[in-house]
This record gives sequence, structure tokens and C-alpha cells, in this order.
Amino acid sequence: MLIVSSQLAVGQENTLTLFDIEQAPILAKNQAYLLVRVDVSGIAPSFNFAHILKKKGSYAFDSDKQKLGEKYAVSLKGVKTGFYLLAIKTGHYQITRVNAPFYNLPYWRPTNNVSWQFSISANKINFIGELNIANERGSDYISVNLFNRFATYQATMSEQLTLLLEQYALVNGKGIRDDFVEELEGN
Amino acid sequence: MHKSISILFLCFGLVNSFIVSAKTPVATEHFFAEPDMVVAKLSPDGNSIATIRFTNDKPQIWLIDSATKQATLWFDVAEFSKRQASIKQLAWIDNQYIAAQFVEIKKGVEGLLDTKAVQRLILLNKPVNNTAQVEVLSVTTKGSMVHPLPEQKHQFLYAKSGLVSKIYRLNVNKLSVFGKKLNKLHKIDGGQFKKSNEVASIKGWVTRWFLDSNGQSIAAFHLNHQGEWNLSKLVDKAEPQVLHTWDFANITKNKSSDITSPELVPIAYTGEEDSFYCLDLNEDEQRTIYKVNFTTYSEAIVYQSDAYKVIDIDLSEDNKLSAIKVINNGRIETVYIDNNRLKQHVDLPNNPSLVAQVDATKDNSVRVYYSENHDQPGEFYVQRQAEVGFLGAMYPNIKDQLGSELVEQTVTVEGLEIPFLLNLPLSQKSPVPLIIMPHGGPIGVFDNRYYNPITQLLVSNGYAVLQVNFRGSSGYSTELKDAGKKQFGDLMLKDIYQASEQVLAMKRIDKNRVCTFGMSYGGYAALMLAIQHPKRYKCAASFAGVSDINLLLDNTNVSDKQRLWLKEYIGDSVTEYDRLKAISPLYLADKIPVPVFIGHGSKDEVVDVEHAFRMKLMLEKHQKPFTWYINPEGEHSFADSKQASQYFERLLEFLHTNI
Repeated sequence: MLIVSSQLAVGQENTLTLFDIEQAPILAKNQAYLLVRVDVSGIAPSFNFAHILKKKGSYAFDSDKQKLGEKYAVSLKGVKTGFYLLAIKTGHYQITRVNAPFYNLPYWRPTNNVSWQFSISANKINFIGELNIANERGSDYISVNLFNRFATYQATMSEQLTLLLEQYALVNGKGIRDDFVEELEGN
Repeated sequence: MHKSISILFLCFGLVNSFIVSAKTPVATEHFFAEPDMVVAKLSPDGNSIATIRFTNDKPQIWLIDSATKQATLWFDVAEFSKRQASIKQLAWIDNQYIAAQFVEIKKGVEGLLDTKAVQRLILLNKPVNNTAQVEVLSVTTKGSMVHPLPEQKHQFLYAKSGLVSKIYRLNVNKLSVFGKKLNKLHKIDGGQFKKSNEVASIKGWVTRWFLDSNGQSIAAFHLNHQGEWNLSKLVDKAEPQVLHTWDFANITKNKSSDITSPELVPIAYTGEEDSFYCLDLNEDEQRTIYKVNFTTYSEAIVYQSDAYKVIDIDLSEDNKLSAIKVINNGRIETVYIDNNRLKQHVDLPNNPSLVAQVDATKDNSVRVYYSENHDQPGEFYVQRQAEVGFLGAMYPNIKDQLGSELVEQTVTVEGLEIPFLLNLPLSQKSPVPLIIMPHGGPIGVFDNRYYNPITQLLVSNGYAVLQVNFRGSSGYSTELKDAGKKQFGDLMLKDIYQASEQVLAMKRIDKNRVCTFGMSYGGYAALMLAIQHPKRYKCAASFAGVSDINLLLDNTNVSDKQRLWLKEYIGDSVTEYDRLKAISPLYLADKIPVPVFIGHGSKDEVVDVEHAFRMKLMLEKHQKPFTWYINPEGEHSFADSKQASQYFERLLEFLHTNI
């Protein structure tokens, strides 16, 4: 699937478009790869995220004190289930909202807690998890999650990212402390 | 099945002489089959019994003659609903009509709307013979039946909520046939929702009416026009008197509110003035039933469900708890409550440990009983005068097929009495191997002394099974439950281990053949026990088990309220990361000394499947032997009997090979 790349400023919000992993964008200065698995349904899902103006290292979270910088929006309309890339600046980010309009239900989910943060490290492919919007037409049921599934998809990611992995290491890009990958790869 | 088990043993080159049980192992699928008979209701004259039975996962109503026990299919729900449908309430209106309140489960929007339950009341006319057409009437106006008025022919009470909520007295004869289009001359529901039929009224949206056993309106739980919830007492024609007010909007906004204090809301009238049965909204899942007096504010716990969320209760004529309605895998189930006094008055087969009176005529000349034992799933009996007759069983395929001995003991750990249950196969010729099976939860859940299909499956296959109600478990005392706070990987495990040591001292148990097995928290505990006591166990099996506690706590599927609860009872993945990591089996995988069995459902929304995959990678890294089972359609528990049977066949194979 070809997804056209664009980065258009709309007011203060940048609109980003996902890249297929076979067509990885070239990284600009201070950028690294965000890798996300998308499994969504619905009419026109999308999500918003923002740069956290705070040094990485502290995982304590207070939505009132959190200062957010540059804001981004990513459309997921028509995006098939699979892995996608974005080239974005290194840093710590907060997913601020997931939009999942569904037939007659204009639903969006606020995501203001630490579980919805991710981190982008330089020279790495940062897997932020699986963005999942599950719904059932017959029952008006919607569930929105960002699953931390590095181990679940490790084999698939390694298989699909072969060329990119020659240049960049795959890391867990969750914004909260998670020692799993470090421990798995350590001695 | 016995044959196939034997073949299995040969395939794995096992000597199975230790599998000595009094009875032939029952086929695994029978333990996890859909239930057959689940409810039985007696007509006011005692001549007929309406029962709910399941066929292909859909309920049917059968009519049984209480004297001859002849059964006739009365009504098939599958003809009326294509959705997941349950019968929430079944009540005789008189000797001719029965009312059935259907609930169709429609999930809502997570975090926005609650799961929707669409209700519909239908009324069935008793057929005169087997071939007669069944007349099905229905109430079209939205609402629910609040009292069947069995003493008043053809009449019942029906409630309708709105800006002003009301109870009406309806007559069955004026209702229309279900599904039939009305012509212009016919009014909906016979035009019965009118002033002259009103028996109670209150301003605001009522979610529950409370009536006494005679159908007299006592109180209502309702949303007033100021957005507050009130429990109001109905006093003849005077203005209702507010007994208590709840401001849920502010409770929800205040995230730091004390979630350990109960937030009690009424669900039924106890028959005593201003006193109600209540559920606690602050409980992780509503499993505890309280009795609360809203004038004196005295409260007491009267019942705790072992594992499932309580949504409603059934009361006897004298307003005592007779059964609870719970949600199990999205389906409404009835759990009967033991009435110890009854055991002296009725002699039911197999000396059951649980006897409940399901229904009785006004003069008690005919009664319906439910009985259950640790090795006998539920059965229904009818008693006419002194004669007791069998009506039906929940699981007919295993009726009288099982046999085990139940031992109940306690062990003292750090000054706290820890209760445990040990199920032993009968007629052992040699010491039997032991499976230690900790329950899930772990807080507010417990193993009871009644029938458990997993326990009996293992016993039927020759194993003794130990179930420990470690600290954090409900069902015994507040002290035991509260002692579980933040003991996820510490004293809870010590309780299980100490109980198992006490059991292993018994001559009837083979202390050299012990394995652990559990689901959810039980799976976590199974792995941790093997890690902590490397020489004690031969194998460990975990289904839907937690392998990384921090991963469990960081799940985006958790609401703000649940997040607070998890911090309070398990820990904080931000401030206590290292402590929780140190008690996570994932990071201790190199210390696992025995073969393990990791099983999980890919659609598990409670413990994500990532827990299993992480464990798998870590076991591979450390070159530890393991058996792997992933069900792509599996959830946190087994959605159907096929899934359950498939998993437990694999588990038995693993245990037989490694113990």
C-alpha cells in the first residue's frame, strides 16, 4: 500500500501521513523512526500527539502540569492492518486523543495518562506499540487501546524490517519505563 | 474417552499406575459443556414447574408437571432473538400465565456509554396439551415487571420510567399477541398505562423500585431533577421521603476519592424498615452484598460471590437471599445460596453441601430445591408432601459420574489463619500426585467448597487438588481480604506454599509428584512458586498468567478508577517499578527449574497476550523447556466448551508427562 508523505502545517498542528515500511522516509536532522502497528476500523479514525516539553527520565505524570509543544495529527483513514513508519524529531511525546467516529457515534477517547506516552530515540526504530480500534457494528461497541506488544510482534517486525534493521536498531518506544527489551538483549 | 486417555499415556511412554480413581475419568468436554437446566419456578398451585434450559447456547422454557414430571417445550428464545439473550426474570402471574423478562446484551462505548441491556417482557399462556399453539403476549411500552402479583389472577405490576416514573397494574388479557400489528381500533398494551391503573408514582427517573412480598411499593432509587440520585421512601399519598442522596457526578470527578470506602447503592428491599441489600460501586467488581439501614447507617456484609460480578439478587418469601444473578462471560447466570437449615428438613440424594429452596407454594405443600456438592454440579428437585422427585440437572452428562473427598483446613501464616480446600480422589491404592491450583483475582475472589469443573476434572484424572484462599481472598473475613494489599508477590505466595507444605505431610499425597497450575493471578503464582521453591515442584502451568506486573499496570485498557485501585492493591509502576520487576516471573525466567506450560488467548483484554510472548522469548533466551499454547480466538477465560476442552486436554497431557 502506498501512502503519500506530507507534513503540512495546519495552524499549530502538523498533519502527518504514515509510510509503508518498504518506503521508509529519509530521516532529516534530529529525526528518528516511529514504528507503529495499526489495527483499526471505522469511518475515519485518526490520532493526535504532542511533544512533551520535559526531559525524559521522570515518568511521574500530572496532566495539569504537563507542558506540550508541537502538535501532530495522523489520519488512519483507509489504513490497512500492519506496520507503518513516521520520521519525527527525537524526544518524548504524549498521544493526546484518538478519534474513532463510528456510524452515528462521534467517539473520541482522551488519552491523558502515562500509558499513552512514547519516546523517540536517535538512530533507532522506535516501536510504540499497536494502536487498536476495535468495534462491532451490530453492537455499537468501541474499544481504543495502545498495546505494548514488542514481544508479540518481534518475529514479524524482524522479518519485515530486514533492510532498515541493517542501519538502525529496533527498540521499544514506549514512553514509560519498560526494561523488557534491555533484559532480553542483555547478558 | 477413557480409551483415548490410555492411548495418550502410551504415546508418551508413561507408567500411569498412579492414576487410580474410584471412577473412570469423565470426558473432558463434559466438564465444560453448556449448562442444561438453570432455573425452576413453581406455579402458585404447585402443579406446574417452569424451567429454563439451554440448547445450543440459547435458553428455552420447559413446562414440567410436578406430579408426573412430564416435560413439554413451552418457549424457544432462539425464535425471538438473534442476539445474545438471557432471561433475567421468570415469574408466574397466576396458574395460567408466566412472565419472562428478556435481556439482550448490547455492548456500549468504552468510557462513554455503559453496556446496553435491552429488556422486553413477554407473557406465555400455559398450553393445554403438547400440540397446542402457545399464546405469546408482550408489553410494548418500555419498562419492566416489578411484581407478578401471583395471588391476583391475570394481573401484575409493571414500572415505566420517565420525568415522572410510575408503577401500573396491568391485566394480561388486555395485552396484544407478540409481533402482531395493531389496527387503528387497538391501543398499545390495551391502553392500560392510564391514571386509573397507577399504583405508585415519583418524580425523576427510577432505576429500581422496591416492593414488599405482597406487591406494596416501599421505596425507589431515582435520579432527581437536580442530577442527584435519591433513595426515597414512599409514604401513602404524601410526598416521598428522601432516605439518602448520592452525588455520583462529583464522585467521578474527584479522582483521589477514597476508593477503599464502600459506595453502597440499594438493589433490593430486606423487608425491614429502611433497610436494603446493597452493592459497593467502589469494589473492583461488585461481588459483595451488604445489608444497610439508611436511617441508622448500620451495615453488614451478608454475601460474597466467589468470582463473578453480581447484578441482581433473588429473595425468598421472607426476604432472605436465595440466589444471586451474576455475569459470567457476558451471560447472566443464577448462583444459588446455601440455606443450612433446609438440610434438616429435606433429604436430597448425595448429601449435598449446598441446598437452596428455589420456590414454594404459599402453604409449603410443594417446594422446589436446588442442590450442589463439591463433586456434584447443580440439580433440581421437587418435593410434594414427603415425596422428593428429580427434576433436572445443570450438567446431565456428569450426573453421578464423579466422586472425591473434600478436606477443609487452615494454616497459620504470619499470624493469619489461611483457609484451604483439598480435593482427593476416592479409593486411592497409593499416594496421589498433587496439583496446587491458586485462584485468579487475586483480591476479592475466592475458591468455595462447592462444585468447580476444573478441580473435578483434575481429580477425575487421578490428582489431588489444593486450592488456597490466600490473603486477599474474599468469602471469609475482611481481615483476610485486606491483608492482601500489595502482597501480590510476597505473602500471598507464602500462604499458598505453607498450605501446600501442610498438605504434603499427609500420607495420601505423593510429595515427590507436585505441580502448580493456575489462571490469571493463579498462573502468575504457579510460575513464582516454581521459581521460589526449585526443588519442590515437577512442573508449572500458567494460563492467561501475568508475567510482567508493570506491563499489567500500564495497560491503556484500564480506567482512571481501576488505575487508582491497582495502585492501592498491587502497586505503582512509576514509583515502585523495581519492586514489581523483582517479583515478576519474566525477569526470573533463568531461575525456572522445571518444564512450564504457557497458555494464553490472543484476545485477552485483562492480561494482554504480550505477557505470554514475553515469557516465551525469555524462556527461549535461557533455554528453558516449555510447552506453548496460544488460542487466536481465546479471551481471559474460555468463550465456549470447545475452547476449554481443547486447552484442558493439553494441560492434562502436560501434567501426565511431567509430574
